[in-house]
Amino acid sequence: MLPEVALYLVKVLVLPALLGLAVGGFGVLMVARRAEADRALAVRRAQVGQALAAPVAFVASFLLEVGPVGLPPAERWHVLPYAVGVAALVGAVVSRMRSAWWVQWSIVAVILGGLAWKFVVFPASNPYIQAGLFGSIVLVGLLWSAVARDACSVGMAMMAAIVFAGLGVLMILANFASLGVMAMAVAAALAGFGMVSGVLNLRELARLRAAASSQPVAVGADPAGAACPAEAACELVPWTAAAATTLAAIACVLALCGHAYNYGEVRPLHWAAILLSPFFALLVCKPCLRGAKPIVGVAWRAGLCLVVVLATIINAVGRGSAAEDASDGAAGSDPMADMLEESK
Amino acid sequence: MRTLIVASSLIAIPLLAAASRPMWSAPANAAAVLAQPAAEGELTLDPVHSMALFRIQHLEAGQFWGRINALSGSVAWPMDDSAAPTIKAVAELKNIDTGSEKLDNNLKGPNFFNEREFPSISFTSTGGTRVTERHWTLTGDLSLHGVTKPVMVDCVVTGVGKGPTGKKVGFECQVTIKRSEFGMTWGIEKPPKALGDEVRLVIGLEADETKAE
Repeated sequence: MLPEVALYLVKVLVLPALLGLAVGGFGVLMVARRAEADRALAVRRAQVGQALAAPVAFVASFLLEVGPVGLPPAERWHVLPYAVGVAALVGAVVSRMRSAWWVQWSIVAVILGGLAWKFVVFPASNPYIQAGLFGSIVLVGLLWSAVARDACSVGMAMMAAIVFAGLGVLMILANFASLGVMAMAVAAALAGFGMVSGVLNLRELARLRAAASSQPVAVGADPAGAACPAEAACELVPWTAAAATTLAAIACVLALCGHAYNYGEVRPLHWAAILLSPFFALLVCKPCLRGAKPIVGVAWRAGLCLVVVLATIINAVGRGSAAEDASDGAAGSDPMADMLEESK
Repeated sequence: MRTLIVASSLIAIPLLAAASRPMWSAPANAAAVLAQPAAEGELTLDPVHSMALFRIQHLEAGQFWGRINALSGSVAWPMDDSAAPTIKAVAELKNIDTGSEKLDNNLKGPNFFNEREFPSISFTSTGGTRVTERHWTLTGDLSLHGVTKPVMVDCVVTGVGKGPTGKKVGFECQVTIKRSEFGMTWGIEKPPKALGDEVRLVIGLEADETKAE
């Protein structure tokens, strides 16, 4: 039994994650291999891959778990691969645009929010819920874009991985295991992408340091500063606001889907807390981290996000256990035994 | 910007085309079956004493039983057994009962019955052939998980008694289906062998004579 279950998890979780990682990581690898002056085009291509990594992992996991679904879908949640596919396309196209972060955010948020409002309709929906989905895509997209601008690419990928893993756990608690596995596949792809970016960024940092140390130090200059280039200087492929907003939109849609089919003790606040957990990463101020190793910034930001996600999951699990105890108590009371007890 | 406009059009056109027709088929409305007025001599199902038991193999080991309580609907059957009973039965999935609330919720979820979208299971018989006295093989349509398929149900009239409102007739019907044929595939191969594909249904019905008004 165990090898078959392991094989199943490889199929629906590991393979899609590797596929997503390949799509995202290949571009970063190509950038790292190029000379510094020749990177501009490669970076833009890599940013397209960055926007596609998570959606590719999700769609692959869905197809391997559920199989191909037709249009119109037989079940409402089967609209997800189409929705995520459209999100990937919009994110990838807007990622290539040379425009300010807020322009990218607003274009992606309005297009994806509008499409989700109109077409992503789960059971028990109403106009308020659909408007709420639009609003959450806009707001969570803004938050994640701000985090992507503030944190390095590794930090952003790790935070997004934590959020999707958290959503996956909530889905399992909501008795929606298959969607939980798909969210986990996205989380694994993002974590892998973050690690690959981290290793390549560290190599770049070492290269820049070596180059800086070989330069003659000018009179009056700070030798330590010259040997330690800023964190941003070794960032091979920074996150675009378009990619961050696309990820946020996918997370919002998955959270709403999990909520719509929730048969557990997961409350709307749990989904919201996990979606908004990257907010706490913004509390880590950049000046505080000046001079610190890049990994310190990643650890602080991802760590704060993880604390919120873990606290949310513990609360949701606690509610589930309490409800189970209550129902066990009710089932355990035997009216006949009670009557006998009273007659004594 | 031109790239964006072209890409947006590529996305929008198929979606708008899809929107021009209904996106999803409405869930099977079992209530419509019940809304039909009972004809003279027709029997009405007594929900308190009508239930469906289902049996499925768990982890290739034990046969697990669960039940769906409070079936509703009607039966038309001449008491002289001159014709096959015509059964219209509806099982609301909110009444699923396995003895474990956690398992009930899991079964209601989208990995199994997807109760939010397909809130009931219904069976409507369309004909029957006699096996022996008061024993029929009924043919009919079973609607489950948004899929309607013809099935053959073994049906025995277990007895005719007297209830507070008149005659009371009992039926016991059995049918074995493959749930994968109704689009319920979770647990058969993915995850592998968690639950069997074959589901045996044993339906116990008690129907009261409907008084002509």
